[in-house]
Amino acid sequence: MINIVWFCLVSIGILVAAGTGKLELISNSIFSNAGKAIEFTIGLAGIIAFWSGILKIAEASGVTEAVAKVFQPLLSKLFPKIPKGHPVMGFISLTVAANLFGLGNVATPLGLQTMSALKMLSTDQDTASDATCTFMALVFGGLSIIPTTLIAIRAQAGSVNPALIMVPVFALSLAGTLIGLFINYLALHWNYKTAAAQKENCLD
Amino acid sequence: MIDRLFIFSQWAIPLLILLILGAGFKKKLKVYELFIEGAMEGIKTTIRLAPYILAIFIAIGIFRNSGALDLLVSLLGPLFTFLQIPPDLLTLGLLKPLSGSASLGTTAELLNKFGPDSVTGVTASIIQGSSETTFYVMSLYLGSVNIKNARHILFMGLVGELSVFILALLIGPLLIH
Repeated sequence: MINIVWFCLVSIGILVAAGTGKLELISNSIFSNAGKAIEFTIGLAGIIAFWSGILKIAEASGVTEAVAKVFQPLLSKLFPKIPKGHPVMGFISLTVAANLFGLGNVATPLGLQTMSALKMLSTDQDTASDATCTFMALVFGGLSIIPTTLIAIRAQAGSVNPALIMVPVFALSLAGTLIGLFINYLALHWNYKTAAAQKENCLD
Repeated sequence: MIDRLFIFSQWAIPLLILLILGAGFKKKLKVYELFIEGAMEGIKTTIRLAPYILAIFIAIGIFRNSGALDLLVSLLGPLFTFLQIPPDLLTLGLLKPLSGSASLGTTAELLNKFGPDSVTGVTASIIQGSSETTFYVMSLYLGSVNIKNARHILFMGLVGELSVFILALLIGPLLIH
Protein backbone atom coordinates (compact mmCIF):
# COMPACT_ATOMS: atom_id res chain seq x y z
CA MET A 1 0.00 0.00 0.00
CA ILE A 2 2.79 2.42 0.90
CA ASN A 3 4.39 1.60 -2.47
CA ILE A 4 1.24 2.66 -4.32
CA VAL A 5 0.88 5.88 -2.32
CA TRP A 6 4.51 6.87 -2.83
CA PHE A 7 4.36 6.04 -6.53
CA CYS A 8 1.16 8.09 -6.96
CA LEU A 9 2.46 11.15 -5.09
CA VAL A 10 5.64 11.32 -7.16
CA SER A 11 4.28 10.36 -10.58
CA ILE A 12 1.07 12.41 -10.38
CA GLY A 13 3.17 15.38 -9.28
CA ILE A 14 5.50 15.02 -12.26
CA LEU A 15 2.59 14.53 -14.70
CA VAL A 16 0.75 17.60 -13.39
CA ALA A 17 3.93 19.69 -13.65
CA ALA A 18 4.44 18.40 -17.21
CA GLY A 19 0.83 19.22 -18.09
CA THR A 20 1.13 22.79 -16.85
CA GLY A 21 4.56 23.24 -18.46
CA LYS A 22 6.37 23.71 -15.17
CA LEU A 23 8.63 20.68 -15.13
CA GLU A 24 11.58 22.75 -13.89
CA LEU A 25 9.75 23.00 -10.55
CA ILE A 26 10.27 19.28 -9.99
CA SER A 27 14.07 19.38 -10.03
CA ASN A 28 14.07 22.43 -7.76
CA SER A 29 11.67 20.71 -5.39
CA ILE A 30 13.78 17.55 -5.24
CA PHE A 31 16.94 19.53 -4.66
CA SER A 32 15.57 21.64 -1.81
CA ASN A 33 13.59 18.86 -0.11
CA ALA A 34 16.48 16.40 -0.22
CA GLY A 35 18.53 18.93 1.73
CA LYS A 36 15.66 19.63 4.14
CA ALA A 37 15.15 15.92 4.79
CA ILE A 38 18.76 15.45 5.86
CA GLU A 39 18.73 18.63 7.96
CA PHE A 40 15.58 17.37 9.64
CA THR A 41 17.13 13.95 10.27
CA ILE A 42 20.16 15.53 11.90
CA GLY A 43 17.94 17.62 14.15
CA LEU A 44 16.00 14.50 15.05
CA ALA A 45 19.22 12.56 15.71
CA GLY A 46 20.13 14.86 18.58
CA ILE A 47 16.86 14.55 20.45
CA ILE A 48 16.53 10.82 19.75
CA ALA A 49 20.09 10.17 20.94
CA PHE A 50 19.53 12.21 24.10
CA TRP A 51 16.35 10.37 25.06
CA SER A 52 17.76 6.99 24.10
CA GLY A 53 20.57 7.73 26.55
CA ILE A 54 18.18 8.76 29.33
CA LEU A 55 15.93 5.76 28.67
CA LYS A 56 18.89 3.41 28.89
CA ILE A 57 19.37 4.65 32.47
CA ALA A 58 15.61 4.40 33.10
CA GLU A 59 15.64 0.78 31.97
CA ALA A 60 18.71 -0.17 34.01
CA SER A 61 17.44 1.57 37.15
CA GLY A 62 14.03 -0.09 37.01
CA VAL A 63 12.03 3.09 36.37
CA THR A 64 10.36 1.68 33.24
CA GLU A 65 9.37 -1.45 35.13
CA ALA A 66 7.84 0.68 37.90
CA VAL A 67 5.86 2.65 35.31
CA ALA A 68 4.84 -0.63 33.68
CA LYS A 69 3.43 -1.87 36.99
CA VAL A 70 1.26 1.23 37.41
CA PHE A 71 -0.34 0.89 33.98
CA GLN A 72 -0.38 -2.91 33.95
CA PRO A 73 -4.13 -3.35 34.61
CA LEU A 74 -5.07 -1.04 31.75
CA LEU A 75 -2.49 -2.21 29.24
CA SER A 76 -2.66 -5.95 29.83
CA LYS A 77 -6.12 -5.96 28.21
CA LEU A 78 -4.77 -4.23 25.10
CA PHE A 79 -1.58 -6.29 24.98
CA PRO A 80 -2.52 -9.79 26.16
CA LYS A 81 0.61 -11.34 24.66
CA ILE A 82 3.15 -9.20 26.49
CA PRO A 83 4.40 -10.89 29.70
CA LYS A 84 3.22 -9.25 32.92
CA GLY A 85 5.46 -6.50 34.25
CA HIS A 86 7.67 -6.50 31.16
CA PRO A 87 9.55 -3.18 30.78
CA VAL A 88 8.06 -2.71 27.30
CA MET A 89 4.75 -1.92 29.05
CA GLY A 90 6.60 0.95 30.73
CA PHE A 91 7.80 2.25 27.36
CA ILE A 92 4.29 2.01 25.92
CA SER A 93 2.80 3.93 28.88
CA LEU A 94 5.50 6.61 28.69
CA THR A 95 4.90 7.10 24.95
CA VAL A 96 1.16 7.53 25.44
CA ALA A 97 1.77 9.84 28.42
CA ALA A 98 4.17 12.02 26.39
CA ASN A 99 1.49 12.48 23.72
CA LEU A 100 -1.16 13.07 26.32
CA PHE A 101 0.72 15.99 27.85
CA GLY A 102 1.87 17.53 24.59
CA LEU A 103 5.53 16.59 24.94
CA GLY A 104 5.82 16.03 21.19
CA ASN A 105 9.58 15.80 20.86
CA VAL A 106 9.86 13.22 23.64
CA ALA A 107 7.09 11.10 22.16
CA THR A 108 9.06 10.16 19.03
CA PRO A 109 12.21 8.90 20.81
CA LEU A 110 10.01 7.00 23.28
CA GLY A 111 7.93 5.55 20.47
CA LEU A 112 11.02 4.32 18.64
CA GLN A 113 12.36 2.79 21.85
CA THR A 114 9.04 0.99 22.29
CA MET A 115 9.18 -0.30 18.72
CA SER A 116 12.59 -1.85 19.24
CA ALA A 117 11.52 -3.40 22.57
CA LEU A 118 8.38 -4.81 20.89
CA LYS A 119 10.49 -6.24 18.09
CA MET A 120 12.63 -8.13 20.58
CA LEU A 121 9.46 -9.89 21.80
CA SER A 122 8.42 -10.76 18.28
CA THR A 123 9.29 -14.03 16.57
CA ASP A 124 8.88 -12.87 12.98
CA GLN A 125 11.41 -10.10 12.36
CA ASP A 126 9.94 -8.83 9.07
CA THR A 127 6.29 -8.67 10.09
CA ALA A 128 4.58 -6.35 12.56
CA SER A 129 3.50 -8.38 15.60
CA ASP A 130 0.01 -8.12 17.11
CA ALA A 131 1.39 -5.97 19.92
CA THR A 132 3.14 -3.69 17.42
CA CYS A 133 -0.14 -3.22 15.53
CA THR A 134 -2.00 -2.34 18.74
CA PHE A 135 0.76 0.06 19.77
CA MET A 136 0.56 1.77 16.36
CA ALA A 137 -3.20 2.16 16.88
CA LEU A 138 -2.47 4.03 20.12
CA VAL A 139 0.19 6.18 18.47
CA PHE A 140 -2.00 7.06 15.47
CA GLY A 141 -4.79 8.02 17.84
CA GLY A 142 -2.46 10.63 19.34
CA LEU A 143 -4.53 11.01 22.52
CA SER A 144 -3.84 14.49 23.82
CA ILE A 145 -5.00 16.53 26.80
CA ILE A 146 -2.73 19.54 26.28
CA PRO A 147 -2.06 20.20 22.60
CA THR A 148 0.78 22.64 23.41
CA THR A 149 1.88 23.63 19.88
CA LEU A 150 -1.68 24.08 18.72
CA ILE A 151 -2.64 26.37 21.61
CA ALA A 152 0.54 28.35 21.01
CA ILE A 153 -0.17 29.01 17.32
CA ARG A 154 -3.79 29.90 18.14
CA ALA A 155 -2.58 32.42 20.72
CA GLN A 156 -0.11 33.78 18.18
CA ALA A 157 -2.92 34.29 15.66
CA GLY A 158 -4.68 36.47 18.25
CA SER A 159 -7.36 34.08 19.51
CA VAL A 160 -9.60 35.29 22.34
CA ASN A 161 -9.73 31.76 23.67
CA PRO A 162 -6.75 29.74 22.42
CA ALA A 163 -7.61 26.78 24.66
CA LEU A 164 -11.20 26.51 23.38
CA ILE A 165 -10.18 23.48 21.35
CA MET A 166 -8.77 21.47 24.27
CA VAL A 167 -11.88 19.45 25.08
CA PRO A 168 -12.89 18.80 21.46
CA VAL A 169 -9.32 17.80 20.60
CA PHE A 170 -9.27 15.34 23.48
CA ALA A 171 -12.70 13.98 22.54
CA LEU A 172 -11.84 13.56 18.87
CA SER A 173 -8.43 12.06 19.54
CA LEU A 174 -10.17 9.61 21.86
CA ALA A 175 -12.71 8.81 19.15
CA GLY A 176 -9.89 8.34 16.62
CA THR A 177 -7.99 6.08 19.01
CA LEU A 178 -11.06 3.94 19.69
CA ILE A 179 -11.82 3.62 15.98
CA GLY A 180 -8.21 2.58 15.34
CA LEU A 181 -8.28 0.06 18.19
CA PHE A 182 -11.57 -1.34 16.90
CA ILE A 183 -10.22 -1.85 13.37
CA ASN A 184 -7.11 -3.36 14.90
CA TYR A 185 -9.21 -5.76 16.99
CA LEU A 186 -11.21 -6.86 13.95
CA ALA A 187 -8.08 -7.29 11.83
CA LEU A 188 -6.25 -9.33 14.45
CA HIS A 189 -9.24 -11.59 15.07
CA TRP A 190 -9.96 -12.08 11.39
CA ASN A 191 -6.32 -13.03 11.05
CA TYR A 192 -6.62 -15.72 13.70
CA LYS A 193 -9.73 -17.14 12.15
CA THR A 194 -8.09 -17.50 8.75
CA ALA A 195 -4.93 -18.88 10.37
CA ALA A 196 -7.00 -21.40 12.33
CA ALA A 197 -8.94 -22.35 9.21
CA GLN A 198 -5.72 -22.92 7.32
CA LYS A 199 -4.46 -25.12 10.11
CA GLU A 200 -7.62 -27.21 9.98
CA ASN A 201 -7.29 -27.60 6.23
CA CYS A 202 -3.75 -28.83 6.70
CA LEU A 203 -4.93 -31.42 9.21
CA ASP A 204 -7.53 -32.70 6.75
CA MET B 1 -6.45 25.57 35.25
CA ILE B 2 -5.01 25.79 31.75
CA ASP B 3 -2.01 27.75 33.01
CA ARG B 4 -1.37 24.99 35.53
CA LEU B 5 -1.54 22.33 32.84
CA PHE B 6 0.97 24.31 30.81
CA ILE B 7 3.32 24.60 33.76
CA PHE B 8 2.96 20.87 34.36
CA SER B 9 3.77 20.24 30.72
CA GLN B 10 6.92 22.36 30.96
CA TRP B 11 8.04 20.88 34.26
CA ALA B 12 7.35 17.27 33.35
CA ILE B 13 10.48 16.77 31.23
CA PRO B 14 13.15 18.16 33.58
CA LEU B 15 11.53 16.37 36.53
CA LEU B 16 11.35 13.10 34.63
CA ILE B 17 15.05 13.38 33.77
CA LEU B 18 15.86 14.12 37.40
CA LEU B 19 13.79 11.16 38.57
CA ILE B 20 15.48 8.75 36.14
CA LEU B 21 18.98 9.98 36.95
CA GLY B 22 18.18 9.86 40.67
CA ALA B 23 16.96 6.26 40.42
CA GLY B 24 20.09 5.30 38.53
CA PHE B 25 22.34 7.02 41.04
CA LYS B 26 20.58 5.32 43.94
CA LYS B 27 21.22 1.93 42.33
CA LYS B 28 24.89 2.95 41.96
CA LEU B 29 24.72 2.66 38.19
CA LYS B 30 27.31 4.24 35.92
CA VAL B 31 24.81 6.78 34.63
CA TYR B 32 27.20 8.57 32.30
CA GLU B 33 28.35 5.40 30.59
CA LEU B 34 24.78 4.13 30.27
CA PHE B 35 23.78 7.46 28.73
CA ILE B 36 26.56 7.24 26.13
CA GLU B 37 25.64 3.65 25.32
CA GLY B 38 21.98 4.56 24.81
CA ALA B 39 22.78 7.71 22.85
CA MET B 40 25.00 5.68 20.51
CA GLU B 41 22.07 3.36 19.79
CA GLY B 42 19.89 6.43 19.25
CA ILE B 43 22.28 7.83 16.66
CA LYS B 44 22.37 4.50 14.83
CA THR B 45 18.56 4.34 14.82
CA THR B 46 18.31 7.83 13.38
CA ILE B 47 20.79 7.13 10.60
CA ARG B 48 18.60 4.19 9.62
CA LEU B 49 15.65 6.61 9.45
CA ALA B 50 17.28 9.02 6.96
CA PRO B 51 16.13 7.22 3.76
CA TYR B 52 12.54 7.03 5.03
CA ILE B 53 12.48 10.72 5.88
CA LEU B 54 14.06 11.54 2.51
CA ALA B 55 11.42 9.50 0.64
CA ILE B 56 8.57 11.31 2.41
CA PHE B 57 10.03 14.81 2.04
CA ILE B 58 10.68 14.29 -1.69
CA ALA B 59 7.23 12.84 -2.41
CA ILE B 60 5.35 15.54 -0.52
CA GLY B 61 7.57 18.26 -2.01
CA ILE B 62 6.86 17.09 -5.55
CA PHE B 63 3.15 16.66 -4.89
CA ARG B 64 2.80 20.18 -3.46
CA ASN B 65 5.23 22.16 -5.63
CA SER B 66 3.98 20.66 -8.89
CA GLY B 67 0.52 22.03 -8.19
CA ALA B 68 -0.94 18.51 -7.95
CA LEU B 69 -2.30 19.18 -4.45
CA ASP B 70 -3.96 22.44 -5.56
CA LEU B 71 -5.39 20.66 -8.59
CA LEU B 72 -6.85 17.92 -6.41
CA VAL B 73 -8.34 20.51 -4.05
CA SER B 74 -9.85 22.47 -6.95
CA LEU B 75 -11.34 19.27 -8.41
CA LEU B 76 -12.93 18.29 -5.09
CA GLY B 77 -13.66 21.95 -4.22
CA PRO B 78 -17.20 22.14 -5.70
CA LEU B 79 -18.29 19.22 -3.51
CA PHE B 80 -16.97 21.05 -0.45
CA THR B 81 -18.55 24.36 -1.47
CA PHE B 82 -21.82 22.49 -1.95
CA LEU B 83 -21.52 21.18 1.61
CA GLN B 84 -20.66 24.74 2.76
CA ILE B 85 -17.21 23.77 3.90
CA PRO B 86 -14.25 25.99 2.92
CA PRO B 87 -12.03 24.05 0.45
CA ASP B 88 -8.97 25.26 2.41
CA LEU B 89 -9.86 22.68 5.05
CA LEU B 90 -9.53 20.00 2.38
CA THR B 91 -5.93 21.09 1.75
CA LEU B 92 -5.28 20.63 5.45
CA GLY B 93 -7.04 17.25 5.52
CA LEU B 94 -4.93 15.99 2.60
CA LEU B 95 -1.63 17.27 4.03
CA LYS B 96 -2.26 16.09 7.57
CA PRO B 97 -1.50 12.37 7.03
CA LEU B 98 1.66 13.23 5.10
CA SER B 99 3.53 15.92 6.95
CA GLY B 100 3.32 17.39 10.42
CA SER B 101 5.28 20.54 9.60
CA ALA B 102 3.36 21.20 6.35
CA SER B 103 -0.01 20.76 8.05
CA LEU B 104 1.04 22.91 11.01
CA GLY B 105 2.06 25.62 8.54
CA THR B 106 -1.27 25.32 6.73
CA THR B 107 -3.17 25.50 10.03
CA ALA B 108 -1.30 28.69 10.95
CA GLU B 109 -2.16 30.16 7.52
CA LEU B 110 -5.83 29.26 7.96
CA LEU B 111 -5.90 30.79 11.46
CA ASN B 112 -4.52 34.04 10.07
CA LYS B 113 -6.75 34.03 6.99
CA PHE B 114 -10.08 33.23 8.64
CA GLY B 115 -9.32 34.20 12.25
CA PRO B 116 -8.55 31.70 15.03
CA ASP B 117 -12.06 31.96 16.51
CA SER B 118 -13.95 31.61 13.23
CA VAL B 119 -15.69 28.35 12.34
CA THR B 120 -12.93 27.52 9.83
CA GLY B 121 -10.19 28.47 12.31
CA VAL B 122 -11.62 26.29 15.06
CA THR B 123 -12.27 23.37 12.70
CA ALA B 124 -8.73 23.62 11.33
CA SER B 125 -7.34 23.63 14.88
CA ILE B 126 -9.28 20.50 15.77
CA ILE B 127 -8.17 18.68 12.62
CA GLN B 128 -4.57 19.64 13.37
CA GLY B 129 -4.78 18.62 17.03
CA SER B 130 -6.73 15.40 16.96
CA SER B 131 -4.86 13.25 14.49
CA GLU B 132 -1.34 12.05 13.82
CA THR B 133 0.61 12.29 10.59
CA THR B 134 -0.12 8.69 9.61
CA PHE B 135 2.36 8.17 6.75
CA TYR B 136 5.22 9.91 8.48
CA VAL B 137 4.73 8.14 11.80
CA MET B 138 4.26 4.78 10.14
CA SER B 139 7.35 4.93 7.95
CA LEU B 140 9.44 6.28 10.81
CA TYR B 141 8.31 3.74 13.41
CA LEU B 142 8.31 0.68 11.15
CA GLY B 143 11.48 1.83 9.40
CA SER B 144 13.37 2.17 12.65
CA VAL B 145 12.96 -1.55 13.34
CA ASN B 146 13.03 -2.63 9.71
CA ILE B 147 9.55 -4.14 9.57
CA LYS B 148 8.52 -4.81 5.98
CA ASN B 149 5.08 -6.36 6.39
CA ALA B 150 2.91 -3.66 7.98
CA ARG B 151 -0.29 -5.79 7.90
CA HIS B 152 -3.31 -3.52 8.47
CA ILE B 153 -1.38 -0.66 10.12
CA LEU B 154 -1.63 1.89 7.27
CA PHE B 155 -5.29 1.11 6.59
CA MET B 156 -6.10 1.47 10.29
CA GLY B 157 -4.26 4.81 10.49
CA LEU B 158 -5.94 6.28 7.43
CA VAL B 159 -9.46 5.22 8.46
CA GLY B 160 -8.86 6.77 11.90
CA GLU B 161 -7.56 9.96 10.31
CA LEU B 162 -10.48 10.20 7.88
CA SER B 163 -13.05 9.65 10.66
CA VAL B 164 -11.45 12.36 12.80
CA PHE B 165 -11.47 14.72 9.79
CA ILE B 166 -15.18 14.16 9.18
CA LEU B 167 -16.01 14.46 12.89
CA ALA B 168 -14.03 17.72 13.08
CA LEU B 169 -15.99 19.16 10.13
CA LEU B 170 -19.23 18.28 11.96
CA ILE B 171 -18.19 19.49 15.43
CA GLY B 172 -16.29 22.66 14.47
CA PRO B 173 -19.38 24.73 13.59
CA LEU B 174 -21.18 23.60 16.78
CA LEU B 175 -18.44 25.05 18.99
CA ILE B 176 -18.93 28.57 17.70
CA HIS B 177 -22.72 28.81 18.10
